[in-house]
Amino acid sequence: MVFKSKKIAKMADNMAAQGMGKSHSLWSDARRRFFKNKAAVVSLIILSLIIIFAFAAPYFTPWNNEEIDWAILGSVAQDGKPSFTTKHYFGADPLGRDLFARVAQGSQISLMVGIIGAGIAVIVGTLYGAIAGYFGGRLDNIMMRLVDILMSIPYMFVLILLLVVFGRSIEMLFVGLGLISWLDMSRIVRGQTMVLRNKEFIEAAIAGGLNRFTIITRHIIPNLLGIVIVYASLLVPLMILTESFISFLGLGVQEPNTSWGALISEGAGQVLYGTLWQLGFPLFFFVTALFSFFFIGDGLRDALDPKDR
Amino acid sequence: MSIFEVKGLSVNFTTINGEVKAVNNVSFNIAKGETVAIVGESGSGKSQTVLAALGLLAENGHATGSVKFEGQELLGLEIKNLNKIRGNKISMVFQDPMTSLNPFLRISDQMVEVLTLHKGMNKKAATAEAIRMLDAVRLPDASQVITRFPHELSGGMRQRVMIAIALSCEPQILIADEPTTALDVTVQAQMLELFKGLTKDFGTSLILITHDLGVVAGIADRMMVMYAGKMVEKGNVDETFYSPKNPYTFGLLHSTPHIDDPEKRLEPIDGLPPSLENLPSGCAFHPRCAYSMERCLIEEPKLIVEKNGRSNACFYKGKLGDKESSE
Repeated sequence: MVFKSKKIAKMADNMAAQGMGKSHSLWSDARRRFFKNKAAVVSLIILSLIIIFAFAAPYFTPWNNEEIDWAILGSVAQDGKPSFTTKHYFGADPLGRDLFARVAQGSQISLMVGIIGAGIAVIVGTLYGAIAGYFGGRLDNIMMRLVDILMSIPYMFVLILLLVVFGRSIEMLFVGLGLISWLDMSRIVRGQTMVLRNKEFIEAAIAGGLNRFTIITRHIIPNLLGIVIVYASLLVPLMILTESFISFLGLGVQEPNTSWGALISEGAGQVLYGTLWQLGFPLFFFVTALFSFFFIGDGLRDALDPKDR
Repeated sequence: MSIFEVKGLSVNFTTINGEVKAVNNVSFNIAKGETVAIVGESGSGKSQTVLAALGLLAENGHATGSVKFEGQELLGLEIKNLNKIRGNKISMVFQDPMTSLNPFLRISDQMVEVLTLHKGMNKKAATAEAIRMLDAVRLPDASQVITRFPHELSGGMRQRVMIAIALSCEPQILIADEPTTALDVTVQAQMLELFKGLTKDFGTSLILITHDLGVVAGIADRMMVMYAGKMVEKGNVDETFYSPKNPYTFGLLHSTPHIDDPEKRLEPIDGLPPSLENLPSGCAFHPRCAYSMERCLIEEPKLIVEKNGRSNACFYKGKLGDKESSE
């Protein structure tokens, strides 16, 4: 009995020690849940590989994305096949340029477009929505009606017009994407802010004498981040899709730069000549990246879902 | 003497159904170090009275009258100046400790925030002060607790943290809006002991809003009873408890169980509190009052000051309790 009671006391000590163990933030809980989601983790690894490829690949090939291989020009369909002997690992494009280097360069552009586009949406949309939602009343009305107006404009039309009028440049593409991408975000954030505003801890913060700016930045926005991150992770592929569509039309990224959309467009035009690799490689990267983004977004949503807390 | 003066305070809400008078011409004073309880049923306007004083009314509400703190008018005060008072000189503890802390910030961040804002402390000094405050509210292992997130603490611990935050700037007045309602009874008792001790230690005046008469008897010096937005009785706790003058106070006291008389049947007040949108004529309590007279239907009784600082708003001057059998 003595032996046993000692053991129990020890167990109790252990439990007490564990009880006051490491502190877990809601973020660390979410991280743990995210890493339990196999599809999301696999997607994260694949996406990381794609990003590494985009930035590291140029160091593994003697060709760059602008150089034309004069040896195969004119007979790309026969001699431009993917091969290690010619060092065109992904083959060559219709102009005899190395597809491996071009896919890497296109990946850089596409990922950048996706991330910067979503980034603008996150920063502008979150602040805009949080301010509108927190202050409410007339300010909210004016701000949200402005969003309604911007949303009612057919953005693809405006984007194409912008690119035609101000010249086709990647900067213009960013401006165009940035102009439209934050609208949905601001609406989501505003709705969420209105819910948060009536929470007691916001009332407590007001009663504590904090000014409105501090309340928004310190108390509202951290509580919004879950939703913002999930939405942003779904916005990245959307931005990539939009850019690809614009580039597919020939208005987006300009030569010698390229993007997944531009490469796919180029490859699709050559399919009839039997140069399937020109479509296949960019398409593979495009589809894999989009799938990864969606699975990661899905994993994040499950991990950050407030219902699980 | 009094540091907090409320005079003729009315709070109106504009709703789709018209104006609603949540608080109607309420006046009271609070002296330094005093504990005053505001008692009433749900919707009697007890919370709105203090929320109005701190500029925390909902958007569709507006307050008229006067609320003075140390001679300074609070109603209509610019937010910038109001922010120097609330959280600093007047602070508030809310009803539900589970939702009153930001779930994404550590306790330390939430405590330091107020101290750096009002006391201009740096982070290190503020953290030390925060730990001292957590000790003061008798939270064991304060230096550990401060690194935690709200969801890692129990309800009682969170309420102690809320009280610590409210007291951290050593306010003149602490307003506690039903601070024990969301807690279980044993924790309630601890909280009341804590309030009692802290108001003594810090010399803070406490405004306690509650519907729990047991709480009032435990710690308050004076009590004010509100019904349908009006003050109906005011007086020191002992006298009001033993000889209530207003039929409503009487009804409230008799609908509370007493531990020393378990055999006694509770006598609830008949009927429901009236809708503020559609108040009865005359005295708002007359449809539920056993002592109502003709006069109560027409005329509104005024709050009349009686001896010993007691006030009562009722036309009935006889002894209460006589008519119990006639019901």
